[in-house]
Amino acid sequence: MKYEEVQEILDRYWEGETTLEEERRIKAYFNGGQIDARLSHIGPMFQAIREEQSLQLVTKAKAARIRPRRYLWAIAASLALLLTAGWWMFRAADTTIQTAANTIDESSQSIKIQKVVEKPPSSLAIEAQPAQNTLSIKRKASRKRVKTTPFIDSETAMAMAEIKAALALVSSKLYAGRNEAIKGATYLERMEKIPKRKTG
Amino acid sequence: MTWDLFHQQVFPIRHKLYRFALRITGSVHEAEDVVQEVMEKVWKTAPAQTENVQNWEAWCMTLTRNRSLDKTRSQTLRRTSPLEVEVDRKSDTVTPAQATEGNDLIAHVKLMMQQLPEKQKLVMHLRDIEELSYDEIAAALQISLDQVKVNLHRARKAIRKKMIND
Repeated sequence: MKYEEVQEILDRYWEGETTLEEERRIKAYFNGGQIDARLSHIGPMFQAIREEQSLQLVTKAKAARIRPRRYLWAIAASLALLLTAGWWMFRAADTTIQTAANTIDESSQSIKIQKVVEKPPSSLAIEAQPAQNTLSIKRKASRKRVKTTPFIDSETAMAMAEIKAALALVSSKLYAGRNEAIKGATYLERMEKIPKRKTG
Repeated sequence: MTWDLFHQQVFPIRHKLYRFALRITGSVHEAEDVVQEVMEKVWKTAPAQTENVQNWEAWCMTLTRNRSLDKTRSQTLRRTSPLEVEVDRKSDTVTPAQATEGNDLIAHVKLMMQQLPEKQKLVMHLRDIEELSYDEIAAALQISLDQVKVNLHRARKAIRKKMIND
């Protein structure tokens, strides 16, 4: 664009009589780089307009929305990890209890059997004296006892085992606690003795 | 408001609305809020109400202007506004010190445009920065065509006068 042409449009621009097309042309001219020296003082005006035109809304909402999701994934992953770890530990503990319960179950069963096996002869000996006909009935009863008692269902056995384990734990703790208490008591006794010695 | 209509007519002009809100409020944060609120309002408007809308851009611009003016008014009325907000508001627009510093003439022009009387400032913004037609400006600002021309003429004359004097 020639200087005269630009100047002509500019004159009308200041008066507010230019079309949008003419305004776009002079904007392009002033932002094109080759500005006539006589018009250089107008340059900043159109450069300012161009800068203002390039202003854009920066959507922060998107960035803000992504972050919590990332955290959520991390939380979900760590929770899953914790849950699986917990499950493994629980399972391991469960199996040990079960094996313990099984051994106890077996041993208790054998004890019960032994006891029951032992009993019949003595009862027989007692019963044998009063009458012979009652013997058969008692025998049947004892037989029944032999058959029924050893079969403790696994649930009760497990419960028993658990109670035993719990009691053992409590007793061991009690023992440790008692030891600590004794230690503390002796320590206090000693502490009491020291000033007595000094004063005495 | 349907999804298609929103995406074709309203969403693409969000930057325009933002610049307009920024021109009025002078605060980046408030301008962002204004655009958000305008978008929400447009989206929630019942279809019966939008039937008469001929020019979506002008309609959104009007909403943006009203919301921005409400914000600036409530800001000036609120005497107990926190200090940070005031500092923030100043930092977003060009300060006189920044403008006169060295030969930053562009910043100086920006400041001059920001300091124009309300109507002149908005008319000039919609014409020179958003390149709207006189009719669109009249619709957006709800003023007559003559008012648009008079205010644009005064605004440009004021800028020219200042540029020659400086």
